[in-house]
Amino acid sequence: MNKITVVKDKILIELEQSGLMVQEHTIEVQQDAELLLVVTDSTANFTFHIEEGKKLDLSIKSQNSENTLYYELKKNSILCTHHLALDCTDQIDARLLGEESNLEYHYSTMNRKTSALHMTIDHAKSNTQSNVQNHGVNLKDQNLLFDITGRIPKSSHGCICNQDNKILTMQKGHSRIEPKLLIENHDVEANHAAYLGQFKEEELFYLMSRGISKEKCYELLLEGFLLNHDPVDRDTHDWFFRFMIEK
Amino acid sequence: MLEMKNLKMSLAGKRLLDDFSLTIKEGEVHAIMGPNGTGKSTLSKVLMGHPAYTLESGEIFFNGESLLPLSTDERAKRGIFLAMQNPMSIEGVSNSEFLRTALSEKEGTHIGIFDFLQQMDQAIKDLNMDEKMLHRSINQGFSGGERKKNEILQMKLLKPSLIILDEIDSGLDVDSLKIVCENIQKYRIEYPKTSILLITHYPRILEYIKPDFVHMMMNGKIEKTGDLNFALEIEKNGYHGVNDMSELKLHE
Repeated sequence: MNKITVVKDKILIELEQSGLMVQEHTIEVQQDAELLLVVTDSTANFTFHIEEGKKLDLSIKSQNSENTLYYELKKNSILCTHHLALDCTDQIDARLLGEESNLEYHYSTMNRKTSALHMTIDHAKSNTQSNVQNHGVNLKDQNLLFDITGRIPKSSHGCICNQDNKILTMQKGHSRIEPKLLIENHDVEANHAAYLGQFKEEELFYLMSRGISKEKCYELLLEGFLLNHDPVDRDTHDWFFRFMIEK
Repeated sequence: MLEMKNLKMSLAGKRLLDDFSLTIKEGEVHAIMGPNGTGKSTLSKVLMGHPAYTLESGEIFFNGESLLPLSTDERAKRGIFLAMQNPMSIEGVSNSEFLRTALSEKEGTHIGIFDFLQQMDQAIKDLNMDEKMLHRSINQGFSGGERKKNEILQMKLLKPSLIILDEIDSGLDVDSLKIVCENIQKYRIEYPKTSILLITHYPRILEYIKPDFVHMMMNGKIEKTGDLNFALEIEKNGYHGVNDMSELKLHE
């Protein structure tokens, strides 16, 4: 697996597959590839170019960092991202520059300090698709913001632009979702869903009625909410959910 | 087995249980029928300890132990199972993870995936279910019938001693109703001490699961008690048209 690690602003690049070119903060995807990006206690800035017809499976694990990630997708290219963030503020811009390009982005975050996700998806060409799922759990009494914009200009038709944003507020934190769909073409499909709140009492009751303790129910519900069947290895799972019980 | 004494409960200013009393002995089947809004489902939620359904007064004993101080999961661990009228769908939590966790909590030990699948295999076949449902989110995209079968699957896995069936027959087609009832009957034969509290609007299910007692519930309490013929009379004449001839002694 290709891996880029950033710890306290120092970058370590380990490439095991051909097809990825990394120059400073720019990653060129010239063949189908997988990449793990780990960012800890840093301010990271990366640009990804995904060439025509290529696919990048990108996993991101980020903690206590401010990240700016810029993605450019050429014709028929695909980007699938599972992005796990703990106490992070992220700026994510994706530009679908080629027809039939496809973006699938799952962003899951937990925060104990004020955090934000600013995301813009720009459908610059026709017949492009984006499905964005942003799920956050605001654990304590700080702020969590999702500011998500999908943009389809008049020149792009046949696009699909979906965003699903949810934040669960576990204690007294302040959470906000600002979903925006800026659509100038009528021949497109665009949807957004936004949910702010807590777990439903009926969900808890249902699980507990099968003999599952409240703590275990929360674990199940949080895992389902944040990972939602996304495949993660045991180490990643434990790293992510350990944050929940750390003081 | 289960003793409910003088239960009183109101919600949003409406009296839902009004001095409700009922005793269910080991191995007995009790059916409760009654008009909509008369407190039948409320009773099931009170028994299971739903946090929004707390009693104003009354007592509930299960095998001699008061249920009131116990949380919902503790009641389930004591052997009470509620098959719900409208089972929740929960996005992101797979059926297999849910059921394996429930089984592990009951057994007090971690159940491995292989052991779990072995236990599930026959139960899934018995209920004529698609085993792919194990890997889907809980009840998500399930039809009404699949949801009810999923409730019975959970029952078979958790092996309760008191089963509350809250309108298990609603949303089931004729074939599915037969499969569900056959599975409940098979369970009763395997575990003859199991008691059942069955809430329904229709006597058809009572032809499959023969009740020892049929209670007519109105305005939060039991108005009359009879046998299966009483249920048929209710269907024929309606709740307000049943005559006094059918009344047996109140079961207390």
